[in-house]
Amino acid sequence: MKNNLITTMMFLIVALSITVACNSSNTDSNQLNSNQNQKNDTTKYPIDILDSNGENVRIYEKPEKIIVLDSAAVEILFAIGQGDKIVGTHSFVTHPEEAKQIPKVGDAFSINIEKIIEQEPDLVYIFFNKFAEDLNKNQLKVLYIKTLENDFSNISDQILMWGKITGNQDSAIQLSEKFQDQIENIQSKINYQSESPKIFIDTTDLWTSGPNTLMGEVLELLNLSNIAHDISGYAQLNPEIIIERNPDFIITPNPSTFKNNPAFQEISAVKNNKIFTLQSDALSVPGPRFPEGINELASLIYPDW
Amino acid sequence: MIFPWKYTLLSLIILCSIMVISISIGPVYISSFEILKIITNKLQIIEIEKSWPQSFESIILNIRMPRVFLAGIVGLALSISGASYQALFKNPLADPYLLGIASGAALSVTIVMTQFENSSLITNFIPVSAFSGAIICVTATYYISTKQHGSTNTLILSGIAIASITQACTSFLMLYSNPDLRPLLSWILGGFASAQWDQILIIGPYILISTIISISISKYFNLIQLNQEHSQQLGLNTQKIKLIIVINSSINTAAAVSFAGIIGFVGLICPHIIRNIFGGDYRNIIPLSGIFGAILLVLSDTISRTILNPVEIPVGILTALFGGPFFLYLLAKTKNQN
Repeated sequence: MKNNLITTMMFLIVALSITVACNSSNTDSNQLNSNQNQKNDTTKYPIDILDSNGENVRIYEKPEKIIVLDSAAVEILFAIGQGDKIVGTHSFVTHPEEAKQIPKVGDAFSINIEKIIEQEPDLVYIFFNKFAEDLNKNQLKVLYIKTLENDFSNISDQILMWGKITGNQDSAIQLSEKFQDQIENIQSKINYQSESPKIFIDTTDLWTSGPNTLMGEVLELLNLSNIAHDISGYAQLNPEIIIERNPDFIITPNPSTFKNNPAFQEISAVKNNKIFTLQSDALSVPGPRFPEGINELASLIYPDW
Repeated sequence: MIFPWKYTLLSLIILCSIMVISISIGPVYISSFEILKIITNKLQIIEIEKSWPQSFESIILNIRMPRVFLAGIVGLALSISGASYQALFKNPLADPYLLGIASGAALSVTIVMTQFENSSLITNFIPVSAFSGAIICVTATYYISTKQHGSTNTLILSGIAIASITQACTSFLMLYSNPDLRPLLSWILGGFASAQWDQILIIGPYILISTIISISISKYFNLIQLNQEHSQQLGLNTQKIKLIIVINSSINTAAAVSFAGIIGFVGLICPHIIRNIFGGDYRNIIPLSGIFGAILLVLSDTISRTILNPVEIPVGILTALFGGPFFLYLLAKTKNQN
């Protein structure tokens, strides 16, 4: 109880200071950009969007103020030139640079309902159903779409959906075509007949992703054989299994976990010094940068990528 | 000095056989005969022609053995500190984390994990920061309580206050810094997945020395159970003994926490089980509950690394699942006797 109280108080203080800091600059840019976007206005409202509960959410007119509690959706909106419609995000949004200026109205575990109401949004987009009830109670229009857990080709559907919602279908179609081209381009460079190198993706502490995850699918696309092929979702793999399955490549944020542990010296990735660290977080956000992430991983594995 | 040689030897034999069995089970099947050959070859007792893959040698010598030994000494340390605190505070609910060790360690590990970008630095820095966080918290607790005449109650209360403050800071940092909390949570739940011989060499000496100290002062633990006047009449400087117990047990627990994370329940439950079986004499309780703690943790870790093959589950979940029912059974049994 005591913990909760202190945490809430500290959160309030931080939240207040962010509101004060961000409010003034945000309104100016809204007015500047809205003129440019009108020519792409191709959607006929009202529109119906199917949410992850299987219910239709009807949007009556073009939303001008959107709260987006999802990193991928923020990236999509900025990529189709609608970033200025976002009036609130959650605290884990890192990309693009402009998104950092947007007020933070929640995080993965909680939302600040008062700050959301204060922004008077036309639409609140959430990836986690828990918040829906609170938001609905306050007469807010809520769109709940679960974060993609697998099947990354759905990213292009989400791009098109945002194009429809924001009345910006031309740029959305362009972006989604670009996305599909990038994926096809990657596919065309891979020789699926050749033997697939074995790979271990370490998130930290031997936690890894199974085949039914976005990362698992990326490995399949790149003709890599995931040594964690028999786990579901995310789990901590037993170190013995890693030695036995002997990966040719290891991707990890902490190479020293493998390089400094005498137990792992016989693994071919360690012997041949094929331990790499991904520099960008593109593969952890299923948005328009996702193909960049796939390319980064591919360039670490295939020398002439 | 009366020392329970018979029971100690017996339980050591049980511990050793459980360790041998644990080394021979794992997700990768290696036959007992091959394990024997690998170990004798390593010890260079007799020359054996190498007929096994190098990976088996890595698995036995560098994964299973350090893991089993680390689980053993951590179980020993937690259980002995638990017993010492229960004696010191005359409170059966005392556990090794009572004076803010767990929360201190957790806070400093959280700071390191969330505030530093360089992840390889983080991995090397975690044990040191856990150890120092734990020691700083206990020192603060002890210092504050001595300002208030140093009764055991103020010690517990200031421990709780310090723990609350550090926990609040930990929650705050967890919520507002780093989106990927899995590594942090898995450290907090505790485990031996990354056990190495180096780690045993680093924390082993602390645990060894403080175990020897605990055993050699265990007769005073009995005297503390009397009220303060009586023990002073027997010529015991209670303040000094208390200070020794606090410092000794804190170092012991901090060492256990530094690599293995916060493993709950072992330190609370093992002394009770031993007390239930062998009675309230701390000369029995201290060594026997130490060995019992080692047995419990080695067993739990073996299960945690094999049951959901190829996946690991945090060992803390198993210590509770495993020790809890046994503890309840003992409670029910004592009640019937009364």
